[in-house]
Amino acid sequence: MEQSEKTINPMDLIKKIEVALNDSLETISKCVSINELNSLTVMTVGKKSQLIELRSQLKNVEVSARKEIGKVLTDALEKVEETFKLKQSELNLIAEQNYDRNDLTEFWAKLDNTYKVKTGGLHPVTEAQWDLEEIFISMGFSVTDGPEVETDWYNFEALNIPKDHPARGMWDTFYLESGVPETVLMRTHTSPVQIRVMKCYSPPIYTVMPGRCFRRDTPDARHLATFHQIEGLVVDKGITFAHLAGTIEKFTTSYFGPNIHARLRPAYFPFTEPSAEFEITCTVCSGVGCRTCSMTGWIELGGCGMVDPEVFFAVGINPEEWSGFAFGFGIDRLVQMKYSLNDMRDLIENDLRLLRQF
Amino acid sequence: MIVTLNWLKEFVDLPITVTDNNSVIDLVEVFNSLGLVVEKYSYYGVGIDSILICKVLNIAPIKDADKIRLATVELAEQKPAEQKPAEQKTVEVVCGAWNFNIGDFVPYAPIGSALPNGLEIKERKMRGQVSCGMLCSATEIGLFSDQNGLMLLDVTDQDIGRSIVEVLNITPDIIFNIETEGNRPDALSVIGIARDLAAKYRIPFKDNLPLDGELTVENLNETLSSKANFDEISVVIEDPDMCKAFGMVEISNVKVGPSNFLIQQRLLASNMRPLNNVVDISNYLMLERGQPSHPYNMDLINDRMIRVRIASEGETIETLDSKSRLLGKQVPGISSDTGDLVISDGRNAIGIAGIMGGSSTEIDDKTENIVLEVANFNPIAIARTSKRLGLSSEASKRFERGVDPLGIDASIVRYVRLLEKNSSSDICVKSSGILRSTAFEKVKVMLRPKRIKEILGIELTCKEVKDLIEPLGFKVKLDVSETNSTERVDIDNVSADILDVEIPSFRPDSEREIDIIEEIARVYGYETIPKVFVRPPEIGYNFDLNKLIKQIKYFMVSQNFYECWTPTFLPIGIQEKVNIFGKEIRLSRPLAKEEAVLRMSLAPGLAKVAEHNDKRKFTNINLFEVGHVFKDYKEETPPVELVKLGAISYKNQNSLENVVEAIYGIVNMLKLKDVEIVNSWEYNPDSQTEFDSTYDFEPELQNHTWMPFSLSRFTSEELLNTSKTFKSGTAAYILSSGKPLGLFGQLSNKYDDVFGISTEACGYFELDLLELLNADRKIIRVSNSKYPDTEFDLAFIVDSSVNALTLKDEIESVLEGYISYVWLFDVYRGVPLASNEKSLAFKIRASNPSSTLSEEEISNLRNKIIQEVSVSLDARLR
Ligand SMILES: [Zn+2]
Repeated sequence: MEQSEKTINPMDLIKKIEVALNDSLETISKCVSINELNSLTVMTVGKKSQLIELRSQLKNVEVSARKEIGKVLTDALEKVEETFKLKQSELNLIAEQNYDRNDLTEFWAKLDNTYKVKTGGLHPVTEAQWDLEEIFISMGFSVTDGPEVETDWYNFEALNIPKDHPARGMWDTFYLESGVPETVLMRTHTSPVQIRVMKCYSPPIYTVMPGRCFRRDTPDARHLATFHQIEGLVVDKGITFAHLAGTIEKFTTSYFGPNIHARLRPAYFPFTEPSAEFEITCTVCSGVGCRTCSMTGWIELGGCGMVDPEVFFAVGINPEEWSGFAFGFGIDRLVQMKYSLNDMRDLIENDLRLLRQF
Repeated sequence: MIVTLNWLKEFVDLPITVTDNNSVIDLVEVFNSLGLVVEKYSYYGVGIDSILICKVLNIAPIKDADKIRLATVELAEQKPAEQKPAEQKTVEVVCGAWNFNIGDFVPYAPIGSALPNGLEIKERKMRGQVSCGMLCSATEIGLFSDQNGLMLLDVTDQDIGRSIVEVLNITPDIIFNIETEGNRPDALSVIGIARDLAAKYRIPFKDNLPLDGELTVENLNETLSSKANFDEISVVIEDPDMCKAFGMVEISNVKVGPSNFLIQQRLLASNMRPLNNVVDISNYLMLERGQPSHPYNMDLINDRMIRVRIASEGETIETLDSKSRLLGKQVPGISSDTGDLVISDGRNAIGIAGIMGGSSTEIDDKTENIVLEVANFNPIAIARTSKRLGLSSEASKRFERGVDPLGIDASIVRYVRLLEKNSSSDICVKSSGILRSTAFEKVKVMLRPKRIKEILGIELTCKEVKDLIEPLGFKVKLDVSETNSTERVDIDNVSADILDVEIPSFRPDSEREIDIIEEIARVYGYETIPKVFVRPPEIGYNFDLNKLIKQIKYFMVSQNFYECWTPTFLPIGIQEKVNIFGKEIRLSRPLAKEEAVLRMSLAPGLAKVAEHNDKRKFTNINLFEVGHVFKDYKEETPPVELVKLGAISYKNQNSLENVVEAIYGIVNMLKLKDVEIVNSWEYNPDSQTEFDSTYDFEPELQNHTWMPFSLSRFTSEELLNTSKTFKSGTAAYILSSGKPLGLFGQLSNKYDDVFGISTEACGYFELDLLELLNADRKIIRVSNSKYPDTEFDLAFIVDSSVNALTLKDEIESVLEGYISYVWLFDVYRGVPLASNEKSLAFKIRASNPSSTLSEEEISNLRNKIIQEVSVSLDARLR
């Protein structure tokens, strides 16, 4: 018995190995689920596999053939293992894909509940104001602010608008019942901040001042009695109208995009001379002409000009030594343009149905 | 201001034709570049060649129709001249207008013709009635009329069937609606706008009135005097400051009647109603030359005298609009150091100078003799009276801005010429003249070409300067002091440091060197000046308060709060109703009574918004605002201004907790030092550190931060007041280093009634951002332990008057030296505790920075805590 065992024909063993190999490969390939495959681990690649069993018969082969058969067996084992792993990953993938499905869009859709507000948001005017501040800061301007209640001197007189000046009619003013009549008022523009800056600090001055302003105007779709403005002021040596034009252009292309440009046309303001209105390429039609821009291709944005010598006199700056320019425009109007808001009064209603959309 | 192309062309030969669209677009651009912004423009008298004149023969109702009628109109069939006279032809037209009668002449658009708006006229059937053509209103054919309905034409039977263009001599034109700037009186006249265009187009300006040597008005001479006797009327200027010049012409044998079609159309285009030749020409003159004038019925002037005087207090006059005006009356808020200037006869005021004439001397159909006043009044005086009376007119608008003091003679001549043409009688100019109470002095300004470069950034030669502004009427000469010889130097070839510029009399807005530089820039073209970007020498900064605001707004948004923007103004008395006390700061003339006083707190505004959204069925309403509020507690002028953060949380699972969480977050985000929460009933400001000094921001550059204004702090009294707008049992102060930052809690029950919210479902806080900005920050020294944390719970029973934070502080004091976290995780009131007791359960998490905590150490800590709180707060372990 022992003798006979020792004399296994090497060719027979090789044949047995081939059969066992094919058998194992077939078993693996027939598997349809990862669980089935896993249950066959021991049978195919584990200790009880046919190939491992055949390994025990190796010692019954004549010594000279053992090495060669050993290699055939090893190759077969490797082949099975490799196939098993491939099959395993293949079935794993299928298993993963067939896993219990969770529709995560449900979570998202629930958040759209109109009544239970789950998020917060900035007022669009704040967003616009911060965008503007950022651009001007990056251009080298510092941001400043002042009080909303002003005296007549800061709001008008220092700006070359004395009492009884016909230009006073340009600003309908809320006066307060405080002190001498018509001396204390709600600022009609942020220009008094310019006066404060020039009185407090000496040039060079490069600053912008955003803030809330008030005009005694009955609100309509395009105007509010309470609104927001940003103004800019530059006072330095050798500042010219060319710098004003260049700065407005730089701001315009930075804020609105490289295809939007600015142009100036003559205007009148008591505190600047020369004065200009500035217009920008219509952002709706890119200058081709549309209803928003009344077919002109341009939209009026704000006013600007070279600081009037009278204003410099009022704050004690020598206009022969220093020159400067100022500009200003409404922030709410930018917001209205940006969001195609029909009625500006919607901005102060604070209806969450609207606020949530910005 | 309305101008028409043809009217302008009377003064400057513009290379523009109505039919050349490109040249028109070019003109619009030129207008804009001059600062004369074209609001809109429209064509006139174009596309109406096929419109005929017809006469209404009959008007009949149409069955079942109450809006339209059937008009039978006569149209003569045009035949060549050599043939028999025109044959009568009638057509029936359905018409919806009701302003015409049988016998009227109206425009008729025949079948096959088209209206200027493109509407093609076809045979139409309305209510079973065929309409052969259309009877037109003025608007439909691009003309002007003061009639509603059909345009009624002042023509005769001979014109029936003829073209309206031919009969009325209509020339195609373009009407421009120009928005003019407030400072330029000359821009309120055709002649002034023409002058600007002449300069820009570099075409010579020519007056439509040859003044030199061709004056036909007799005795038109100036006298430097305040008194003169004309043929019929004597004139005296009693207040020379108010009236620098007074021109007058006496005209007799006037036949009052309609003025010609062109004058009427131009007046109508300018929104002025034609009345009669005498008045129309006065108005026409004002539009054309910018000089207001006023015709009086000479025979109604009492005592044959005119006085230019100040109205006496309480004097009244009935103006042309049939309203009685009280003169010299003081109106609060309008300074009245000068009285109202009137023109009066020997007895009464017959006109408010420069604003509106009186009805007592009004021109009517029977007037034969007139006196025309062409004066120059003090702009400020006219502006004040106009404001005081609330009466503004086309004349006052011009006088307020300043009328050309040297334009009186030309205006008188122009008036007489036009009246000659528009009166069916031979008018007779009896006498005329100009009284000048003050001699006119030419204004000369020194202009330094170097200054042009300094302001505009462009270099111009003397000749260029001259070429730019002389067409506007400025005279540019070399400064006399610079030419050291008497020899005349040609300005074209020299460069000079100083030029003398003479300002034209019709440009009172130009009086300084800088004004002339603006004129140079305007004609040179703003768009031609190169664009150069400034290079600031320093980098830009935001100011500290603004940076804080930004940080806080982002934080509030992260806490699901929406930013709002509520009105700065509140209704009178509403603040007191919700226990916001303090002197109300009122607007002197509010727009609406809902927005009449300054807010002292953000709470009313936010409560209103909460209610607004509640009504729209929202829940989880979380809103905040950063805004200025105002206090008058020190009787200061202007009142004190504070910057606040207000936040309301409404109808959440736990709204009060929401606001506490938000404040907790802010305080931690800002690393505020020594934060204390003090329930309002425990708060006694006198025991706190002193904080009620009002401080000013020093106007200095701190860390490149500009804050050129001062803001104020709370007073202790103020603080106690502020808490009253909360429920007294549910409000707490938050303090940092002993300084109050603000309050939080639930708003007072009064908000339920006033704003319709349920304050039980609401949390509110308001923080002072300046206090927050200036609060001390913790000095952070970070440390961490490599050893594991130990966590244990301790629940204590304490008297209900013991604050949670006080107990927490006690526990923490035991844990000094350890890295520890202590927090409250449960509060219990009820059985089996006594009614004045509560249980506070804390979690304690601690680690030793240098070693693992041993069981023994932990046990010691527990015992020490239990003992400490038992001693200090009479707390017992539960
Ligand atoms: Zn457009």
